[in-house]
Amino acid sequence: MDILPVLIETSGGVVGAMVTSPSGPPRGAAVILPGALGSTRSGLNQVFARLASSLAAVGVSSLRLDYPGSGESHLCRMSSWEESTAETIEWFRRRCGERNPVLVAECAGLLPAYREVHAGRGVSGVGLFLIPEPPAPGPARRQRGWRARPLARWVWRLPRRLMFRVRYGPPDPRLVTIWPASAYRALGGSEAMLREIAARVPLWVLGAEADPVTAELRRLGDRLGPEADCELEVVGGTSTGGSSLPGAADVVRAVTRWVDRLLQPAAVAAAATVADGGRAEAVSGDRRRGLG
Amino acid sequence: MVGTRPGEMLSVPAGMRSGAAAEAGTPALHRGDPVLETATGGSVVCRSRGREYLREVGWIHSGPDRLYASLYAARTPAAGVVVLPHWGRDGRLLLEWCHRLALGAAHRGGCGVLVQWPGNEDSEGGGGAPDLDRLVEIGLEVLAASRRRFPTIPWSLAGVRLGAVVAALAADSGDAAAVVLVQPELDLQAYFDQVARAARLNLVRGDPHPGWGFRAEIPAGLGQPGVGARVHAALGTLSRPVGVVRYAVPPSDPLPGNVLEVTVPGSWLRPPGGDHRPLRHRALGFLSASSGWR
Repeated sequence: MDILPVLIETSGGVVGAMVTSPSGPPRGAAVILPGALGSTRSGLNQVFARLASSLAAVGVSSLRLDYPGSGESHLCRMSSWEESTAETIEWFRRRCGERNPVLVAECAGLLPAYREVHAGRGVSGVGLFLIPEPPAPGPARRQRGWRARPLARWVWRLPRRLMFRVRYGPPDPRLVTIWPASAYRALGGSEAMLREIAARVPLWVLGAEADPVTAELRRLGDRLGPEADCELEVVGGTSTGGSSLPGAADVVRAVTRWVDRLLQPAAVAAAATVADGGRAEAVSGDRRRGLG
Repeated sequence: MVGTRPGEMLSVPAGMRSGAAAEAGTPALHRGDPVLETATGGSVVCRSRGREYLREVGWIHSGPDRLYASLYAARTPAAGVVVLPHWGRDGRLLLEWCHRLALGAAHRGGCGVLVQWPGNEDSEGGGGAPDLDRLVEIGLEVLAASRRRFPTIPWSLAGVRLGAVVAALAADSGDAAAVVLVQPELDLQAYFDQVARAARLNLVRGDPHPGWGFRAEIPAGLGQPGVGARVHAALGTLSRPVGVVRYAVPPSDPLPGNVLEVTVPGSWLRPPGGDHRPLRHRALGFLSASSGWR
């Protein structure tokens, strides 16, 4: 296994990424998309680094990137996250030979994964874990209040901010939401994104038994119907993330198993059919249909 | 170039430069030179605030661990600084700040190298295993690797929070030109006890395992008793410029007489301006004054 750090020039600035390749000839490729809130390409408790190593062990090359504004990409403009992330994935895709990469996304990584699928760029499948709950829109009056308060605070703090800017230079970008809630709302929340992804490429979702989102996903599976090419895998516990070592191990094991299965010859043929624009009509027999 | 033959997937040879630099023919400085100690990774020339600087990423081999390091350098650096970061989840929150400290060195005509501790971020190795002596050993090896990269310039150490302890203990053996400790946590036992206590009190998130705090393992080897006294003794005997840059709140314990204390108005928990720019500004100012940077 070879792990290579790379710096990729994009329209928003330099993006830092890690390419992990297996020791033998790769049989597939994956892009690991971290969540947004303070996640880096190695992930909490290095869950993504472990995942990349595990994928390399089954012959899959992978790319994991720091989003603009975070980690090694701290000088890349956060406002250009969409273009820079897409260009980085494209950089990797060009090196993937004939096969398109699988996208593995945690939490808000769903958004760039959706953008890739929506734009019709080559994607073999999408695997998700720690699915974010769509933000509930508040009543209009309350929203107006919430907008007025930060504005007043901004005006109150303006003189001091100007003084700091003169003395110490421009402020560092805040390490908060790269994906604003408004983007979710504009896209209709997670459900609309999951629907479209499932309509275009194989979709796999990892949920935790005690996670309330898992029940939501089951209901969504009922609404999508059996023809959607998607499946839900449920593990025990309360969360499927890197917040504990068992949770990280669950994620690594389950994602590796899914990618390995997806890259079996029969599944690859089915994915190619889907990527050509049609709905999945034939998938390998051992896969469950529907999120439920 | 890699993976260009049909059907061939990524099989990246050691020494490959970044895709953008290779494709666009970006004039990379030191194109044929190794990145830090071993030749892997990317090397690009970047531009920030109208100044051009070299940026490299790569690995430094230290004992059983492979450590990830990031380098920022002016075209002809006049001095260098190795940035030793904080640890764990708190360290992740200061990651970009540490990058900007190294970049600030490049902006001032110097060179900055940021290394990641084993088991943290992109570095390989056990997260919970290392003890303080191992971290000091790593600090010295990174300093030596940086010196091999730019041998003619003086190299200093900048330790951030937990990294300050390592910088203080490694400064004399590593013959650092100057040492700056940023918001240091000189008593690691007290620090990790505080992390564990805060995690226990965080009833919203809870804590998955004993020995964990805020979703990360608390390294048992680092929070040993007596570290504070050892660091104070080491600081007192240092024969090179030593500065401590910290906020006025919380107040610090008394420091040895040879240590220059630079206090920034404000609080660590509620930094003025929303980030820690003043700390970075003062730390770079101290290094400039003591190592002859611009």
